[in-house]
Amino acid sequence: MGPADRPDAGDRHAGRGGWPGGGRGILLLSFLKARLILGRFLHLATAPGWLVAFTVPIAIWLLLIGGAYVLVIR
Amino acid sequence: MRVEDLPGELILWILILSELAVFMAGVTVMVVLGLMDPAGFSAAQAQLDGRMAALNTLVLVTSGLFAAQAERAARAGRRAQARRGLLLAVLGGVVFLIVKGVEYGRDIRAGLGIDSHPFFTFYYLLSGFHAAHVVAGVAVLALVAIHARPEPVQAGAMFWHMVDLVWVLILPAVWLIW
Repeated sequence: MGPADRPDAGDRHAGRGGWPGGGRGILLLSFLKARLILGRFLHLATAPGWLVAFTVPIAIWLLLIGGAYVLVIR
Repeated sequence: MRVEDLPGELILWILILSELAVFMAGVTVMVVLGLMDPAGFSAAQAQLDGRMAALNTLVLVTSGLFAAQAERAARAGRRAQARRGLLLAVLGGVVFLIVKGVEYGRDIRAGLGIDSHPFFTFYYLLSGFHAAHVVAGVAVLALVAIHARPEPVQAGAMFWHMVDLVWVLILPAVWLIW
């Protein structure tokens, strides 16, 4: 029996109430943690312009993932 | 914004960018496939034990804090403290790998192989590739702990923080969002 054949398969998506709410929080947490690592641990906060250069593409990528999910699933 | 402003060795930043690009590409393909089969991905993900990933997140974050502490100590010339921090970070990496091994063992015993579903193909690919980086990071941190000189300790800590960063970016797609 494959994952999609399980009795509960699709339940989380049936009501289209899946992860957009919680998912936004998860993606935001991921972004904040990534920013913390880049800024504090990898010291980009002390390198003018570089923290933005790294975090903006990551933010855009996370937004695209979240946006695509919302557009396709909801 | 100048290249000279980047902390540490430039080659490490090239490595960090390359690794981020590879993992982000993998996660992007996984998400695109998941969007074509959200019910299948959701059902597949439901078979994973999220507690293992939560525990490993805690372990890796704590280990990263020890690596940062070691870096500060090495810069201040406190080599014994730096060495202690590095060894604690190594211990965190070893615990991470043990938990990962237990998780894989449980998955395989449950019949969840790499070809069970596209979700599991990416699950094993992304988490396994990441675990390979943890192995490399543990070796690097252990090596730089021998002399605990500032520059090598900084390089080792930067590699370790990259491993932490990659984990944060693959975690939602593999364990959380479906």
